[in-house]
Amino acid sequence: MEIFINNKSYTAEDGETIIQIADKFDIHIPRFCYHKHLSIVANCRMCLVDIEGFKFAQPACSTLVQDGMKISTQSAKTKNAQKSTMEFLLINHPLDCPICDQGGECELQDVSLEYGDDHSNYMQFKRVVVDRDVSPLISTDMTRCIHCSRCVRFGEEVAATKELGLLDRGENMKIDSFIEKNIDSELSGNMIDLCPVGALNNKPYRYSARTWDLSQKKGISPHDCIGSNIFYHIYNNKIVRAVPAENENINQTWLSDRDRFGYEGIYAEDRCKRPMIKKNEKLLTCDWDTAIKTLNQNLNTLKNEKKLDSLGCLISPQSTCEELYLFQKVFREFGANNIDHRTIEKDFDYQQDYPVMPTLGCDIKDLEAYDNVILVGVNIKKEFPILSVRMIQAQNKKTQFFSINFQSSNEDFNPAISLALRNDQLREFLDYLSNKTNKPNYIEEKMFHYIFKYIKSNKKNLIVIGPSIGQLPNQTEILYSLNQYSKKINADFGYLTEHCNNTASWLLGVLPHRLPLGKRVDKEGLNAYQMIEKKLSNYIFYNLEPECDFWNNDLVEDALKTSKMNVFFSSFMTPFIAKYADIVLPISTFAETHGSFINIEGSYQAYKQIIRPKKEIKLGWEVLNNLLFINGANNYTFDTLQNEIKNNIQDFDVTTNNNFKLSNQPLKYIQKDIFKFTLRNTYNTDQIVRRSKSLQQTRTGKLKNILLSNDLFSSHKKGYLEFIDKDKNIKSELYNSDQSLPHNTIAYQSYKIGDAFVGARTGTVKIKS
Amino acid sequence: MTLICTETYSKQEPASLETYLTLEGYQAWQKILNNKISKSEIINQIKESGLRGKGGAGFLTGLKWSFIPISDEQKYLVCNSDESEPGTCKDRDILRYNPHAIIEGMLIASYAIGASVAYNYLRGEFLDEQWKVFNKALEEAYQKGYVGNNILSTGLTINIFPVLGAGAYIVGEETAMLEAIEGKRGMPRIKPPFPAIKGLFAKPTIINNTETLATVPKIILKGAEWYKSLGINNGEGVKIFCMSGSVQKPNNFEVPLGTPFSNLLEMSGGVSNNSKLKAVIPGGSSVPVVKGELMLDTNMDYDSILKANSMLGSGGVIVMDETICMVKVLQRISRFYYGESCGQCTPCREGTGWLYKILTNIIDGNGTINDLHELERIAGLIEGHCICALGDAAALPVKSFLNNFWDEFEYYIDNKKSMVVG
Ligand SMILES: Cc1cc2nc3c(=O)[nH]c(=O)nc-3n(C[C@H](O)[C@H](O)[C@H](O)COP(=O)(O)O)c2cc1C
Ligand code: SF4
Ligand code: SF4
Ligand code: FES
Repeated sequence: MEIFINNKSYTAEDGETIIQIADKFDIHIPRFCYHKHLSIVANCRMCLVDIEGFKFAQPACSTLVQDGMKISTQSAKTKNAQKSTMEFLLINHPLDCPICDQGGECELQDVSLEYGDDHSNYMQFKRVVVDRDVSPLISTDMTRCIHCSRCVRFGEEVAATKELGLLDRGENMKIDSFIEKNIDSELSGNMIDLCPVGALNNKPYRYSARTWDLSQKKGISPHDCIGSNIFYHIYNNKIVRAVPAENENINQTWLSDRDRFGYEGIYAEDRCKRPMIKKNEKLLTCDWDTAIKTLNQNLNTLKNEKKLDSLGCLISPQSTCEELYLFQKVFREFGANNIDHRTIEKDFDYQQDYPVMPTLGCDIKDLEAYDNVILVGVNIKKEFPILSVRMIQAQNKKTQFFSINFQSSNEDFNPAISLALRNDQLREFLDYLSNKTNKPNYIEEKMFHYIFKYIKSNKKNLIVIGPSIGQLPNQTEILYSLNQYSKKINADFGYLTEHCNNTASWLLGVLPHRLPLGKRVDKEGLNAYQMIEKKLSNYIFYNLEPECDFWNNDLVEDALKTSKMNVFFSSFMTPFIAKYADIVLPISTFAETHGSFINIEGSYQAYKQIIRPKKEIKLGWEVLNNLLFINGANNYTFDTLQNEIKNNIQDFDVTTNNNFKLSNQPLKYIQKDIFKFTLRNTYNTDQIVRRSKSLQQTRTGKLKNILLSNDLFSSHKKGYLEFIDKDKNIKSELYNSDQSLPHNTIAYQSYKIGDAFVGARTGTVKIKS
Repeated sequence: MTLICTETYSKQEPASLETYLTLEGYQAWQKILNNKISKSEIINQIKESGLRGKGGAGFLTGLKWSFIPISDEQKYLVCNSDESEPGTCKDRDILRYNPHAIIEGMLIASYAIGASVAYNYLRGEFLDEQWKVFNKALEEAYQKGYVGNNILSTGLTINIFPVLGAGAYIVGEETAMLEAIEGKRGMPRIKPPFPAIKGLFAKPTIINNTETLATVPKIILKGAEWYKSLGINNGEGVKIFCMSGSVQKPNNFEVPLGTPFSNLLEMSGGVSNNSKLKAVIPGGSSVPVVKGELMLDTNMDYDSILKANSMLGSGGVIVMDETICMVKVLQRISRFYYGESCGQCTPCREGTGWLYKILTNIIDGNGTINDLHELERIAGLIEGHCICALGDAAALPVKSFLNNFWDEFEYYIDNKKSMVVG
């Protein structure tokens, strides 16, 4: 159809609103309540425009176009209507722009400049709203609120957790939470972006800079494998805040709180600031040259003495592609075979048959094309908060979700079925779904009924395996059973991984059994667990926190104690590093280097250095390059390095089937005693997030109690918990019951340094009665 | 005079099923069921009767019903018994003296639009009396099999659920009512989509006023022509007018549309306080005020009142004698809208308070002439710029009071007191 705006003709489609057409053709219409990803409420009345044939100006955001419609965004009627709205909005708005963080990027300020009057006709008292402390992440100045309800609609529609609502009515209407400190969803920070004024602001950023003094750099989230796009705002070479960079395929216009506030960890006090070397049992600072030379010498000695089998090389999959690629290259050049990134795993029997690179199995935006998505071993809300948004969208389009985890998952969307099973039960359950023999009696009949009714092979099904499966002592068995089941229901197979770059770690051969692109190695090395368990004589740890990033931190300590050389490429000085390191090389965090990540749908995303590191801190890839160079290899520049990686992977077909067939049916795992596992808590997932002060102050960040299943809790009468984990005796008063756990289960909520995490991530314990 | 909604009022036990049955109660409903009268036929009859909505807007009821799409999806009927418009108290009495007429009307309307579920939303203040009476009547109707599953063994299902409000005037606005029934905060929705297409729980829904629905059974029983012919002086049908304010005997009067206002005034015993008629708000506080002289020449039907620059509205007739201070009345009306605005749209949220505060300032003796211009200007900024009609309802009285009684406002400002004694 044809419509006219300011006498110019435009084509429009049935069902489009005036504002959509105007936005498409860059015709400015002021607005506050309208947001393209939220429902239309037309309450602010800022977008009123003059439409021929209408007595009064009409809201452009809610008025549908009609053939031949004549709209004017400039006429006196439009201007007067918009001016009157502006006048109403300003009568009760405080004039505190000079002390408001929103100043300079305030939509009200912008429009006011254009439409506002230079004096006020309002002579009455202005409204004042009392503020309450609603969150450690969001500061409120509700007197500034213009009641556009974007924040409320965000909660209702996007995050599906209503944290802010409207109270009272008329002039006294206010935005508030019903309970104090109630805002703690994993996506709450988006309300800061949505709020057009300074009512909801970024609390940690508060008063730290004026917006016009900031510069902006684009980054990719290092905190999960979704790869959200982020703009970091920088003041004096310091990141002061983060906001979403729009990417319709990935994070749309949203960001999880973890991605928004995680960067604070970079500024932790325990950053490694200088290279260090141990001399006479004392760790002393030294210069870079000495550190590198000593490391090189030691490595060359190992090489010459043919003792490289005693070297374990471990790197975190939170590292950039460039670091991962160079890491395996450097140590392979020396002749090392023990190379791995899978430090949180225990059972590696699956590895020969595993896909070259695990992906989600579909593009993130295509999740909604599935009839059924079966989530195994993952709590999306807690572990991949940004994905919740997509899943809510998919659910609105009729995708059904089924969740099977070790704790019945508390999700923002509504899984049709949410089961909590122990690891031994999981296999029985999956096998029953495939073969319909040996029906587990701990699951209600109606659950099976529902599953069989909806999950059928003629539907579009997706099975997603979460990172918790990787921590299981019987992961291979579960993968095997899932595999059988996926064949039965003709499902696509996908993964969600522990860190932001596991996909690249696999693809780039940071593995004991594969070179880049899945090529076989000549001689297979030890896997991550074996390297620790066998107590090797020499270790390289790259970007790893020995206390928290392993399957069993006790074993790590044992290994560090007995080894001869412990080298840490690290950004942070942890207690274990301080105690056991022989060489410490302070390296950049994600933000201080150029880099790239491959997200879980297989998208390669590169970014440029966001801030410069402190003087004595070097970029990780440079240090690795240096090691290569002094042994006679060509010197890489960042570009030549990145190009080599890109050339390597560009021919690799991302869409290759994730599905795989395990050659041998694994033995059945027998569960003795109590099943114990560690939850992947939102703000515990990586070393940077663990150090974000603001995130640690949230309710989620503070969780530390040990959780007991109801049966264990009710039979346990002592005021403290005492149990045996392997050969360790653990005593704790911090425990409570959790209904969402299966029988005979105990869960650790955190694995921060100093918290309750002890021993293996999964396994068995005995409670002392 | 023919009475419809108020027919039972003068009887013993007016609300009882027995009384209703002696007055041809449920015969229309039985006629429909026995003769299998089609939905379209009923809608046509209502259309032909010229029945207009009695909740305020006066929209043609039959036409409204005909907007319901013909489809298999769930549909709903909602009876609007939120009656909160100042000056209006007719639904209150229908609920307490003739509840079965409402039930029968709801049944017929539900049948006509294909709704199997109907709600009656009563304002919270009706808890003590009307709520109980209506529930008791509903129970009786259920027992007799007029309502429920398999109605009178015909296989037809219509269930009626009463809902109790919580004291917000704005919930009387039809889309706010839908939100409230859905369990949400009562705030009007933007239209389109209209409720007939996307209403309660996003399904086609018709909302009608209590009086409108209570009128329906007799129209079906006696025919469209009969109903039309009840009107006089070019009016069609009947309407209840709630006479209040400066009258000797305030009451509800169900009279032919077209009845001269002077007759109505006489029926309510004439002007009280031994005074003369000064002004009338003929259709609830939301409509413009009319000067007494003009009103005495006006008949009570939609067109005549429109000619007097006001609206028939809900039929709440507020009479004011010469001892009444117009400044105070307007301040009181403004306070009502200030208190009742739901707060979602900017002009209404901010503007209603502004109006009230200026008027209060005048009452306190601090007003200036400029305030009067300011009042007019602000009312002009609100008018036509809001989501629902409450914004207009707050603006229109301001304009009409200033228009008709400017001198009185000026006097108050100059002398810091009212022009009239009292
Ligand atoms: C602010 C406001 C309040 C209203 N309150 C009522 C009310 O209390 N009762 C009522 O029947 N209609 C009320 N209405 C009108 C309804 O929106 C609606 O038009 C009416 O219920 C339709 O019924 P009818 O067609 O039978 O008149 C109100 C409208 C507005 C804008
Ligand atoms: S707090 Fe901000 S986003 Fe929420 S309603 Fe107020 S102005 Fe809008
Ligand atoms: S006009 Fe007033 S009452 Fe109506 S929707 Fe807007 S704010 Fe609410
Ligand atoms: S943007 Fe259209 S009314 Fe708010």
